[in-house]
Amino acid sequence: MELALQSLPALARASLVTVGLAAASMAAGLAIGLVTALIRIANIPVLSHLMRAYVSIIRGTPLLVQIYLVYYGPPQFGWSLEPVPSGILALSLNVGAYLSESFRGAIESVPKGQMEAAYTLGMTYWTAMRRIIVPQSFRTALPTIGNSYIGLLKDTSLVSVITVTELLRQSNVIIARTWQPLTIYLTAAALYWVMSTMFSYVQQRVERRVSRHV
Amino acid sequence: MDLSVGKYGFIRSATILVVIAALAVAFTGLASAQSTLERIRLTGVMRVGLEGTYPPFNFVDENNRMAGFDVDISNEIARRLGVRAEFIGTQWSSLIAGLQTDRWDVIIAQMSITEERSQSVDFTNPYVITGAVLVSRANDNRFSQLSDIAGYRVGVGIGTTFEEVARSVPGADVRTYDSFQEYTQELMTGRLDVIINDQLTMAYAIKDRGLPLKITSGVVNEDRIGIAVKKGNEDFVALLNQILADMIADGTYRQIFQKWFDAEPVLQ
Repeated sequence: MELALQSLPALARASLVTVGLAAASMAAGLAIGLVTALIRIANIPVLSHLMRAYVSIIRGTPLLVQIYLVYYGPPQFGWSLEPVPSGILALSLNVGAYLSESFRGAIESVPKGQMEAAYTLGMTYWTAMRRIIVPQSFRTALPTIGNSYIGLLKDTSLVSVITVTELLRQSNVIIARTWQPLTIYLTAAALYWVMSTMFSYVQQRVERRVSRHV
Repeated sequence: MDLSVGKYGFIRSATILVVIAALAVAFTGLASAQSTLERIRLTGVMRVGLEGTYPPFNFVDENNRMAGFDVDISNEIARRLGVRAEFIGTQWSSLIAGLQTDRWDVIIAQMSITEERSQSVDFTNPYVITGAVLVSRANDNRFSQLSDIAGYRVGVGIGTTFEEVARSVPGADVRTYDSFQEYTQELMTGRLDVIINDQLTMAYAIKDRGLPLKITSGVVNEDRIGIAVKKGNEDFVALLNQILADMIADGTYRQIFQKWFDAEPVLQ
């Protein structure tokens, strides 16, 4: 117990890195996911195939392999990203692919009549998407977005393999010194759980808010 | 509203992917031609790749700073180069990949000089000569020589010389781990019968942490530990060899060694 308290400041500091990685990747991932979903639904030639290949590759390969590739791949071509940006890039590309499917499902679940009604009001396809369809789809997409975020929060632990001192790597570093894996991993697990729970609470509030007129 | 997706088909997607791959390969030509020594001199920093979880050679201390024998050696080398050392901790299996992709300039992390590794990196002369030993639980007298591990569960670090030594014994049930704390823990909890690791590291861990373990054999394999440098940096390797020789000759090396170990260094 004493060791858990002693190591708490260092682990808490590393948790900030974990939250930062998750938040930055989620922000980028949301943008990637929405754009990908829109391109695929609009069936834009070439682009929509690229996006389909992107989603298929990301979903079909392990995140750990993607992280290694983003970190160790580009330097072979004389272009290299620092560990934290590499981690954020890999995580955003990953979560973006999953989110694009959430968005696609949510957008497609908006009744067809909505688009037809928008057309009769003289809206173009993209105006209707922006003002009628996408806003309605957000409510449907929210639970799966929340799910993705909590998954992402824990996936950040994989970034420890590319020298980023986030919560898991910090735990291993402390274990190397103290030889107390049980205590340290339990403390780390508790911190992950606290972060996820705090987020779940925020998500609940948001969901209630966007559903209040339904 | 047209929500359909697959108007074009797989072949088109595949073609696009091939074009992207070709572009990526085309960029290979842009790889930098700068040598390691040039880069260190230019930036004033020597970036050292190590585990950071291998006390007393390299670990993170209570103040969250990298410490240990390797760290002191690195700092001394950097001082003599007129630069400062920066430490990057990562797991063992990534050390060579990071060196080859210029994530760090040297590996100073208790890496033994082996023929296999010499195909991917260049080594300096050894800066530590040490040896692998068998370690068992304190009340276990079954292991006194290497051949005794046949038929038992043996824990070693993945991709280490200890793994090679373990695998050389027919019938040994070799299990690999990422960090030495993991397999040491497994030995204590009884999921392993014996482990193979460096004598200096194990002596330190048993004494410093009071682990209920003992070194139960003599040296089963000598390890010559070198500094690894990216291939094609002969000038830098020669300079490091000169610095190491100077450090051994003027007593600095012995001083650093005895700060961490109650023993005379093999290198004199």
